[in-house]
Amino acid sequence: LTDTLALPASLAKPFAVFLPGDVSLSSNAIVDAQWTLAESIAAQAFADGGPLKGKCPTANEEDLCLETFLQTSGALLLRRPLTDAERTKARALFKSSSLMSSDERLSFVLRYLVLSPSFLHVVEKPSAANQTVTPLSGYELATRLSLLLWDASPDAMLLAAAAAGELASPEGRSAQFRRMVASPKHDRFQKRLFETWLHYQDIRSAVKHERYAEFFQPGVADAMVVEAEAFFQRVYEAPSSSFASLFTSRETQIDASLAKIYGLPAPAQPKAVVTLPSETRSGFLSQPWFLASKATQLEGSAVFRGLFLIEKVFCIKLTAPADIPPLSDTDAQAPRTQRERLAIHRKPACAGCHTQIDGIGLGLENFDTVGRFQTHENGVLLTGEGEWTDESGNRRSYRGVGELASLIAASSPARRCFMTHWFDAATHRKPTRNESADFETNVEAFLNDGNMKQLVERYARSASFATRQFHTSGAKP
Amino acid sequence: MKRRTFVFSPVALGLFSPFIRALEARANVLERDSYFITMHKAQHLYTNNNPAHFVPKMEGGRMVLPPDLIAFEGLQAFLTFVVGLDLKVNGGGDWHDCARSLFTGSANAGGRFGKPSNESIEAYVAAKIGLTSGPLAINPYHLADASTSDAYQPCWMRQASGAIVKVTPVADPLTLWNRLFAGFQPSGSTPTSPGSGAQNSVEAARFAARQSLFDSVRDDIQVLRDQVASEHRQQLQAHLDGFRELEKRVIGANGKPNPTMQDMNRVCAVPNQPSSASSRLSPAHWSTSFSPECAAIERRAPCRFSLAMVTTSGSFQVDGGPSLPTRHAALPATTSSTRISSRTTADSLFKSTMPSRRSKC
Repeated sequence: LTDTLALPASLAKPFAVFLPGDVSLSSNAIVDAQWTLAESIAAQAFADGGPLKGKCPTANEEDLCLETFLQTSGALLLRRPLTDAERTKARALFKSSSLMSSDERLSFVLRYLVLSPSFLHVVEKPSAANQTVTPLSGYELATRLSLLLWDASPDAMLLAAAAAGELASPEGRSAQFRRMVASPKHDRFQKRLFETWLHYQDIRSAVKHERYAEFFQPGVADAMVVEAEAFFQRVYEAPSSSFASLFTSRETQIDASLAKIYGLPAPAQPKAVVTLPSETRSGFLSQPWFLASKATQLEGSAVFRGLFLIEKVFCIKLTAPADIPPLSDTDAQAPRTQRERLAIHRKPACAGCHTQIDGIGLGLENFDTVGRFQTHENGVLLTGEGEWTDESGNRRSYRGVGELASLIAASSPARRCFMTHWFDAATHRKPTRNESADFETNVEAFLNDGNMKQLVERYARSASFATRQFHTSGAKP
Repeated sequence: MKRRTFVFSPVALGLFSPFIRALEARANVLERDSYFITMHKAQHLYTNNNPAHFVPKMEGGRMVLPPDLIAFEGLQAFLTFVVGLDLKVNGGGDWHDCARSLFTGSANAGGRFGKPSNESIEAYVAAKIGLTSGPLAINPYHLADASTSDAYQPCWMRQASGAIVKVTPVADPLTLWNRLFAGFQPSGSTPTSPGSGAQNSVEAARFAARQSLFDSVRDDIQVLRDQVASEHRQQLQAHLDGFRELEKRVIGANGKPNPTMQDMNRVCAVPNQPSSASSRLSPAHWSTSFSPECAAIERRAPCRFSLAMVTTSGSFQVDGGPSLPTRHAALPATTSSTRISSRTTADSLFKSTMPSRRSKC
């Protein structure tokens, strides 16, 4: 909307659209939200100094003015040219009464466009022949591409490419892809990708015991989120756009509050990019947002961290037993470390899951509840040793976060798992049957190159990107 | 929409005991939209979430509100408190999974541990007290509280049928205000109605344009509904239904005010319209603007709301380690362990507490 109508940035709030295949129902709330948006946009667009104020001032040029508005702003709002029926309705609204000013009449046209179901719903229509797999139109492709790369509607250039039929070919889509990923709007995609995958915003709800107040001070959660976003952006935008670097890069952006957690001197500037020591830090696994959100108030949790990585990085679903006993510290010989408590806990009923969970989670035992590196726990030296089962079923030992991160970075199951998260973030659904072959081809390529940006381009170039599979028959006769 | 109100019961706090009883049923009042509002406080481990802050006490048959609910002073007769629920669901799961199983607005449970979810509890309660549940989730991911930290847009509502429906969260204060108050004409003010002269002509033109706008959009939705594949038709039909509801409110507010509101002779304060610039719903805004005067209106005539406070406490299983040695010390026995382990169990709870007779408010 802000792109389309040149409205102030204050209005640039995300507004959800319904995607094809979305199983959700349109609730009253979202219709209300659409109405609120229409009213708000109309009020601001025609306010004094607003971008549409006095747009069609003279009576003898009103018709031309309206047609231009429909061809430009209207097409951008609906992501396609208006149909004849829509034009007729828009004209009728504009001509409704001479008692209202041209601004007010045009505001009703604007409301009509924003309230349009085509504004709210991304529609991919079935073919007249009722094929289950239907080629997308140029405008449908433009919308698919812009939602994928920008989380936004197509711009005028993309609509022009659609009108010219350029998006039907992989080369045409590649040309637009290169233009679009260079835009700042592409940041939205990578932000959404990493947030939906790793939920780094969870750190905002973390609470720590008062003894950590010095490190978990007000605002530090915000700094952690900023660090995460900057880190993921840097890795994603790098020429190699390397999946492995998510786990191995030691470059990160810190402020004074994070420097304290990292045990570094406060940077001279409010924010600074630093390279962390290889002995203690490696990728996001050793970043405070991750470590502190997977922790209790008082200590880092090998279980939370291990379970999170198993589920999110390896896409393994573990089934918990009905009643999980707490980690006991009431045994005759009280354990001094989390590692010792977990060893007791790994009795036969729990060993199945905890061998996997602890095998990864204990590799991060050197990090406390806020993400500081620690060498001892209750006087016991922490080794960070763990055991890892690779894709061939072989048990491999490692020591510390660096070795653990390297194992994950090179892991095929981890890359395959990332592909599923990536596809879900990109499309909000799972691959359809007609996409599965292209998806597998893309997986194979990603296993080899690990390049996250090329992953997106290969998807945009694939044949199935330009089609839509319907599960049922087409439109009503 | 029919509405009933219930009052807190002293026996509600007992283990496996009824927790709601009917207060009064008021007849001869015209039906209007009403909203069943639930609020969720969770994670009772922390100071601000101590039950003493938000669980009322009964003193001499009178409900004494705790500090967190003081804004509702005077409205006790209209509050429904459901307490004593343990968040555990049948078959296990940790706190987060259980929280997801209970509320609209939290993430869809049933995945991680493969256990079926309960019906959304506030939808269940709404149905039990005779309300049609139209979900209004206010829980975008980044604002979610700790217990629903895995919540993600869009949110989810689980129905009795087992169906899971996505609900788009409302994060924008202006949208929420419109949802609750658009078209609401407080008593003591004059409803908008056609007047006379030139001003009236312009108003009439505006009203006609607005009616035309709604006609055009409604027609577009119908056309699109008939063009899409059948698997998407339900989605467009739901949009059409929602749009008709909107039309009723907006057109009604401008041209056909509900005459029953003229019967009201006290002003029920409507909160000030918030700015949409704020990205966060401010609890202060609502708690200070929703005045106890509304209670008086409730007693006399149809008002807008049925209020419910749904609170939860649960055994936070992951806190069992040495990190939180006093974890249950602050929890009174009254909040412990009525376990909703299945819908059947929940049904039996309500059967013993819900009056069988229905009446209009």
